[in-house]
Amino acid sequence: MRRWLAPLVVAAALLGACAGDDSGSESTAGAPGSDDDTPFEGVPLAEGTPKPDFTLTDTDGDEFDFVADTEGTTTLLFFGYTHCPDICPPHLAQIAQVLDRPDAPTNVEVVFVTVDPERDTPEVIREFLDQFDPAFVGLTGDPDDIAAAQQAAGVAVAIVEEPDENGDYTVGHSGEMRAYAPNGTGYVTFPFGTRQSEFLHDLQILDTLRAPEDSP
Amino acid sequence: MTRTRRRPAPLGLVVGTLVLVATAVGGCSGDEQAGTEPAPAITVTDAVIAVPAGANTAMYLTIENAGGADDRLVAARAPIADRIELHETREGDDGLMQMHRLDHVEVAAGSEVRFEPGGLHVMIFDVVALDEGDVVEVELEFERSATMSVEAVVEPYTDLGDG
Repeated sequence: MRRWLAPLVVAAALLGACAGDDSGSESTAGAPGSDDDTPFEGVPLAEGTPKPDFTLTDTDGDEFDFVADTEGTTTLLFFGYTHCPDICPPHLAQIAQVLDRPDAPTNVEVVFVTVDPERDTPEVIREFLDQFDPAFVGLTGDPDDIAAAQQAAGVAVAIVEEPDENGDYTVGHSGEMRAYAPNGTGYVTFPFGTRQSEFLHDLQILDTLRAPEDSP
Repeated sequence: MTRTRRRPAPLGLVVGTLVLVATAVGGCSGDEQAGTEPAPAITVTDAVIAVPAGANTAMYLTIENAGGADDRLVAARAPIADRIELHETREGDDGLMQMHRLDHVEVAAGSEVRFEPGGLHVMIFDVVALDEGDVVEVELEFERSATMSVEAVVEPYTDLGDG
């Protein structure tokens, strides 16, 4: 397989090449599997992390209550935008491919929340997500509500950058995909660059956590 | 809830998509003597363009400079978009992944630079519709080496690897 992984390491090397001050140690705060006390390959969340409570609008125009409408499923929550060429598509493609595997749990919901509601209409989001999996849920809403959802989820709140001379703009956003077990508790978060085998490993554990008292 | 999933099987990574060796061209300074000054020797491999999922997409490639002088990639052009830039995604201390536009990408003598998801990428704005398997001719402009044309294959975003 391709050696596209370890993007952080590569980024560090490249950054050095450009800036000439390579420290050789790009932050690996999100490096999976770095904590020996966890059964997970992803980055563990604080114990007892609840599902964030927010309601936004799905691509059919219906209200989507994140807690109620994902109840009983392993839920993956990701904040991104459709004009994103480099982080969102590979991350979504990875998880879509994992879920296609015969040994992947089937009781999994992927929820994508746009951080660019200005350009990401429900139709645009739907078309984007359909490239990966038509079953992926896409949500939008007021910027304030989307920011509140990110805060509730505990991820860095996205920043819409200044438009350039062409009116194009990018959005800085969290690259994490947060994972909640069917029992409603968050256990792990997947940074960008998570391998398919790591996703699969953790999804299989999460799938067993169905009752509140279940522990990994 | 149980769902049905539909996804095309991913292609394997294009291996050795294309190899083009630049004819190294000096000429940055007027006092060089041909054949005596070290020159860059650029090779481009693994040029792939992701199947666009949204309005924009990205090209990834590997640039190797086997020569004795540094060079820089300064621009990329292709008929699939009016606007193509060199970008890098970096993760800030605040946990945000942000894209930065670059004036150039340094390819030092004896080095290899990989454009990969989450790092360097050629940002392609408002790209035309592309299908998996399409081949796009992309012109790469370097500071010292002659502009070269590479063929990039359009591939799905799925081959981040596994292990």
